[in-house]
Amino acid sequence: MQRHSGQALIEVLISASWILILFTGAGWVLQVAWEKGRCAALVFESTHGILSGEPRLGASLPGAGARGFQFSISESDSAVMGEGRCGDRMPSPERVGFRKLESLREWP
Amino acid sequence: MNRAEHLLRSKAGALQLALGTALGTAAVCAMAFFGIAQHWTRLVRVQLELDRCVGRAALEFRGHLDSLERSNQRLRVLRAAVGAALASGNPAAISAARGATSAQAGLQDLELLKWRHRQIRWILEAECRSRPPAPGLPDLPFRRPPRDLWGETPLEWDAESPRRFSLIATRAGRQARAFVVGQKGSPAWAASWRAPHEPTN
Repeated sequence: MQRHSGQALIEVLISASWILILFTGAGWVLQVAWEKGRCAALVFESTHGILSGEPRLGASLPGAGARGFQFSISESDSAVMGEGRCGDRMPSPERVGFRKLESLREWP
Repeated sequence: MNRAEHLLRSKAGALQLALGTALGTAAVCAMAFFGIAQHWTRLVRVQLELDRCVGRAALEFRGHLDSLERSNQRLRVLRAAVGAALASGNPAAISAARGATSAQAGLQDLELLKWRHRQIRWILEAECRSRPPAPGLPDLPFRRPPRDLWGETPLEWDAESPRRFSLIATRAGRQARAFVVGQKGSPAWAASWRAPHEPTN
């Protein structure tokens, strides 16, 4: 009986470890995906706001929140380019570019 | 069943309950995440659709204004040619030059008609699927004075109309807005994006 109890305990511990690893991994993937989605939306909103002359840094996006959001903008005669990074886990910055209406002869 | 085995079994049950709760929480979090992400994606897609729709119409409008201004210049040159022909007293030259002014005026009328057709299409096809329905596309505020001795007259700008037009479409809380503005001291027109709530004048 003592031997069976020990084996059951070991099995429970091994299973719990696997589940813990699985949950941690899933949580990490989910957080990275969340940051990436949030960052893409924030960069889009911020760049679009600057394009139309109304900088708003993603304030109009429900749930996004601009906390920890680093954003830089570059503007030329023909386009507005935005680049943003959210948090430290982001492997690469999100980039969005819009053509200015003034620079277009007709809609592409 | 001895005491140790009973304890172990009850612990395993508690573990299953905790795991189930964690799994349920993770599933709810994942669903909430995908729901919000989908909402953001939809907002971005709506904004891009509205931008495309309004931007295309603004550029077409600017194109028509530029084209009419250019053809007005050509018509003035042709009328000067009619004046020269009248001075020379050559009936064939007068007739040819007047015919050219008529052709140029016909092209302008065609341009005005094309824009009128575009305005009707904008309303009938509800192009931007705007809610509430987008205001109609602006008119080309030109009128043609009656024909005179020099042939067809150039189009005249309606004095009451400002040289600034706004095109707007709204949907799902998003708005696209463009201005088409006459540049000072130049016959050329410029189109640009504007903030949704910026005053027109």
